[in-house]
Amino acid sequence: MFSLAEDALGRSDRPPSDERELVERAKRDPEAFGLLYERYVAQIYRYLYYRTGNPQDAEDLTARTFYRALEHLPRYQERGLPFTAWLYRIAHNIVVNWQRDRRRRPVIALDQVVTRTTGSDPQEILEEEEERERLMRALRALAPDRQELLILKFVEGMSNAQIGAIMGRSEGAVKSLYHRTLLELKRNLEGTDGGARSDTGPDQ
Amino acid sequence: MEEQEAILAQISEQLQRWLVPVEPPPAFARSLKRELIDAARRQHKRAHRLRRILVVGAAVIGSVASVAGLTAFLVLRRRARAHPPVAVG
Repeated sequence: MFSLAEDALGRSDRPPSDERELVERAKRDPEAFGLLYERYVAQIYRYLYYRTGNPQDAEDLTARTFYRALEHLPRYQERGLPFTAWLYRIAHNIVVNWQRDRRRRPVIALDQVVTRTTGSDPQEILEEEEERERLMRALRALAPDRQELLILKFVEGMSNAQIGAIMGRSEGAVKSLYHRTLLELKRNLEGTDGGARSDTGPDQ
Repeated sequence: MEEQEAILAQISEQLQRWLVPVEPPPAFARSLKRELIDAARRQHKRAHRLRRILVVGAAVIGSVASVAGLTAFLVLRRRARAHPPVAVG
């Protein structure tokens, strides 16, 4: 195991006391569960959005995640990890089951694409969209834990220590996994279809 | 080696650029919140009812056990008085 020590800026990865109190209250008070939901719904939705590739499935799985959290909350025990670690674990399990059950490839409809194009030239926009599509295909071909790492790092802007707390790894292990993930992503991008399903299993 | 690092840095830049935060649609988030709070209320009611059933059940079982114990004690005492033990020798 690793210690969740404070970082150089004095920030701690231990769950803040107000979070602990809110979680304890939410076990007894439905309104407090509503507050807990409000605090984390966007994070869980974003995570599921990038794991599934479309907003409808992200909504469906977000709802399933919070219903499951509600069901299991009475038995939740804080063990020094942030509450989000528990929520992400539920979301991860739900998305893995969903992918296995449906056996379908994630698709992003063109009108649902989140765009951040810089140019106004149609050709330039098209090229940027193609680049994005290639990257997303390559990303979704990664093992689930590698996708999770990239989403937490780039979408949520978390530090390696924070990601480690959520994924149950040390900061060094996250750094090393990140490097291996970039190498695999590079290989996927170099592939003919921009991202054949990776045969590397999840890193433990 | 340096070339590889440059490629990885480029991929990292692409990720930074395209993995942008998205927000859940507000109507969806609001409606899910309402549904979850309703579900939480139902869950609490169920748990409360179950606790009450357990408490009442335990009280009933306890009372029945006490009455049965007391009855058994009285019956045994009456039998013991009706048939006192005979002294040997």
